[in-house]
Amino acid sequence: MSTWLRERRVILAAALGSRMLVVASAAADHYLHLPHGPLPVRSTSTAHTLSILSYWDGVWYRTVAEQGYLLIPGRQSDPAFFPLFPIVLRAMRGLGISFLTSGVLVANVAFVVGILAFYELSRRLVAEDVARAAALIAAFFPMSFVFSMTYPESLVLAALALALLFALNGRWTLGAVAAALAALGRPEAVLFALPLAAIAVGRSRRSGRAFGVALAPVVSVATFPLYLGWALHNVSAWNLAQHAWGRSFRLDGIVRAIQQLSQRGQSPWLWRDVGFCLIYLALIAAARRVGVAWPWLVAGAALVLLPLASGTFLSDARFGVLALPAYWGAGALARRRIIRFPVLVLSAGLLVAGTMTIPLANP
Amino acid sequence: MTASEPPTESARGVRVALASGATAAALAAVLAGAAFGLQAVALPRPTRGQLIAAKTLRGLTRQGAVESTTLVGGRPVSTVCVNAKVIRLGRTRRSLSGSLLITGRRRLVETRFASFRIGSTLREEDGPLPAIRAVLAGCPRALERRIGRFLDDRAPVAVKRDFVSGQPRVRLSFRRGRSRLFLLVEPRTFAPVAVRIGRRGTGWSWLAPAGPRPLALLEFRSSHGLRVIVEENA
Repeated sequence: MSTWLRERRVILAAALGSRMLVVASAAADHYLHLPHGPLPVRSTSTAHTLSILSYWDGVWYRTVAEQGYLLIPGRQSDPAFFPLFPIVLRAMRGLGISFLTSGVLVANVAFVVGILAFYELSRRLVAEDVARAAALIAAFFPMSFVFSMTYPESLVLAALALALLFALNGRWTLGAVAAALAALGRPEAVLFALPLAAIAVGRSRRSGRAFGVALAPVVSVATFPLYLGWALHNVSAWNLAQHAWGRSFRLDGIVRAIQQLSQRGQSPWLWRDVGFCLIYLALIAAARRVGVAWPWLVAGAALVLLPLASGTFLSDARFGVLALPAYWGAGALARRRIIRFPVLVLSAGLLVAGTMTIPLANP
Repeated sequence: MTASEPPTESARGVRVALASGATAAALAAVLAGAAFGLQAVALPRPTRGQLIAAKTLRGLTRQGAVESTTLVGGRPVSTVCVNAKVIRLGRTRRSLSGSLLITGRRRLVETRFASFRIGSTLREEDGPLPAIRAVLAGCPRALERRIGRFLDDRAPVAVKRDFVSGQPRVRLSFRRGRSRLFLLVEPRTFAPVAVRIGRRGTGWSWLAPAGPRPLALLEFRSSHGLRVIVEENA
């Protein structure tokens, strides 16, 4: 175990160091009362030193953990949020830990596990130097502050990376369980059914359990509307809630998303999302150069592009943090130390800036 | 082929494929059951009252106009409330969803942010009274907002079966701090048939869907020099 850890100490240090940077920035925001302005979401807590990490959607996940789902027609309501993170929060609450503390704790521990699992996964798919650079960049990626927020992204990162790693190792049942958990955290995880299916086809053509791993995220996602149908008497509750949040998916969504950029009165933060969307796509294209297979690239690109079908780029910077092939592309571009070091310094600076501006815009 | 002959390559292939498919489906079914069970066991469900209130709210979002009758000093007073779009024409054109209340010759425009009495000009009305009037008039948007706020806060909603004039009704009682709202709803459609606010002793306002109306477009100039267009969109 100690040898295993020693070999990965740089990756572990990067994961822990980047989280310390985020937590310190959030605490600095709290003590300096920065930035000034109204609270982003009603009933947001401000008392805790790390309260900014629970802003925005964090309030909704806490509501689900506390009170369960309720579709409120015509208003923004919580069935738009997937259940894994609230379930974990509720379990932690049973141990006597507050929602905010458990949310921050779960998110950060899951991130460290996720980065280690991602590094192991990367070593199976790309060269060692690319895998190492990819994991380091993922740890300090400017938008990676969302992995420390009371959001499900870090749980999904860990579950996804483990699911793919288990599948590559032929441990199909464990892979299926991890993939199902990832899909209960965020619906985008279902896109990784494609690389999972590719692994199943490539490694074990005759094993039913191998194909079960590819089916796992699909059936897991399908249970959420079924659960809402049972609990709220409305199978369409997720769709209706998404609609109230302005996320109705249409064929011309991407065109509308582009048109939205030229409309007056748009938030300047929208350009952050546009910028990151383009960066993700460029990095995914770069991943092709180090031999990442097309099912992975398609899953990554779909993860970045599909949210645009809802007619907006809003939050695409956050959705894209789970596009694993983008990190391999970044690793390929920054595999040389002379490039990697300035990239990591710049990323760390942007990570601090991103954390400190959480109260200004929903990531 | 006889029973003693070995199976052909293709038959064996089909059997293996079927076995693989069955294993994959079984694994998927077990995972689906576990995922559903996890959600069902771990998360609390809304109360029956909250679910009925949500269904009432869904009906309100589809309603465009309501006619209400209240007893004022022993005399019935009727009000028609129509969903309206309030367009403020300043340097930037902004539109807002609201309600237009018509009681005899009096007209009141109520929005989430401000209310106006309509005369020869628009006069802004302060205080909570216009919003209360809109709720008692059964204005779908005002009622929707009021119920929505109770549900946002997951306020307790008491449910009681009731008979009113021989008709079965469901009585919903919302409570949050000192704020109270009572609704009688139709038990099949959950459409509100009466509304009451606040303490005991205040009367019910009886609601009925209003018939189709010719759409009106009203333009006013407010005392602040703003031009406002009120457009019915029932």
